[in-house]
Amino acid sequence: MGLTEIQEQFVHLALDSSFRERLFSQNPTEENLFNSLEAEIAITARSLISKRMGIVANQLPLTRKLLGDEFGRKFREYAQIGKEPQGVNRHRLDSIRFARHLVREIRAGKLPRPLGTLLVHETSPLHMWMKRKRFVIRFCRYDPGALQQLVRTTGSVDGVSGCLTFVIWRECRSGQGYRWSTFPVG
Amino acid sequence: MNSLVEPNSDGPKVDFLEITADHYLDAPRWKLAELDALRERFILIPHALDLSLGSAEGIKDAYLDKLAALVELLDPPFWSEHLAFTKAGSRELGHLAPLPFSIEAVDAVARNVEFVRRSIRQPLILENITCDLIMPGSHLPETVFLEEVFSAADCGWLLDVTNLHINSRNHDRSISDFLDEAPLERVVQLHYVGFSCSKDGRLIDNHGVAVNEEVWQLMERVLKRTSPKGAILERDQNLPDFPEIIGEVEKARNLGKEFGRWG
Repeated sequence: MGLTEIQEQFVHLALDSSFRERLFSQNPTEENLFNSLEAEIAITARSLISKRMGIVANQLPLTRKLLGDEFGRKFREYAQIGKEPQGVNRHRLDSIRFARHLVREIRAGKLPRPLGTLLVHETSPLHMWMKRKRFVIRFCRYDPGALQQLVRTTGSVDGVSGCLTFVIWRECRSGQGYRWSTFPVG
Repeated sequence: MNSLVEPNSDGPKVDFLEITADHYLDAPRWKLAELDALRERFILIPHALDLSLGSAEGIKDAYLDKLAALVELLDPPFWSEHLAFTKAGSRELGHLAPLPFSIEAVDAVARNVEFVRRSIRQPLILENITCDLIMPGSHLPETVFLEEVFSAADCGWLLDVTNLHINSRNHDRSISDFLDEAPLERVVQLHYVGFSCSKDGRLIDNHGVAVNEEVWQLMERVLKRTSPKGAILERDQNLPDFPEIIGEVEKARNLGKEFGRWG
């Protein structure tokens, strides 16, 4: 076995749970270079998901707070389905794709609708970074400022009222990242 | 060494900073402005994560080009990457994976470092990582592997003291034997931070807790036997109040001074 085969199989085992299950369910074979390392590979695979989830949670802190333990369950579900993101912006891409996954859950009635506004709000700076946007305008069903306050203080969106709101995100001239302003409509 | 130890008279007692290079690759204008502000006050050492120097399939030009531009901009006395691979079969792991302790892996690293040197002229130092497993195909003792890599690639060693402790505990290996046999003369810089313990008893390098006593003790043993140019506290999660961070920097500085290691 050469270095190429070892590295390719390791990456495949660490990233693909179905491949991992198939290979380790068989009797030890020459095909499996990691025959005696099933437990260690499982640790690596779990660590990779945990690391991704930790970074995504940092990028979507209000979503994390609102969903609580459900955040981890939803992320693992999402990580099983899609292919891992690649490239320098992989973690931003991961957060954006996870947000899309959650939006599908909202549309299916499995998660509260105000989460959709939170997701739009929390992914805006990620989109801006990746697309080199200096400003973006979003149209939200709820006031993200009010939602943010509510989630921070109660960890919930219960009782929030809809409020059509324009949100303008812009890059700060001072080099301090992105800032946003809201403009209620009607 | 001395060029790195120039405390700012009007700032906190930080002699130099390490920046995660990847945070500034493909970055927007405001993020690069942050880099400019840091450069005005500190020597910055770029620390890359995803070059995948141990990959059998070689180095990706796109990442290397971006990294080379950043290193050129900062013009540091040296820069660092990991003795690891992160890509194989055109897939990215998103994390550092260990290399087999083999001659083939030594050759791959040496080949890749030589390729990188065509784009980045500043000296490279390589960091030892934590590993959940010893890769199949390993036929050399780790210390021999390290010696062969540093020699073949002509690189210095970024010795991560915490990683060394974690690996020795998780794989039940003797640190004394390691220190006796490792090429300590190659050490250029140290990393240190606290470690956590998982539910199953494994130690984890999560960069999120205060430096443990075991790490301080190992730092002392390492500093007795090496001549690093500096040490970086690798705390990037669960940040405490700044005085606590500075306290850990100060403690490492004093420890080094005890052995005449820096200014």
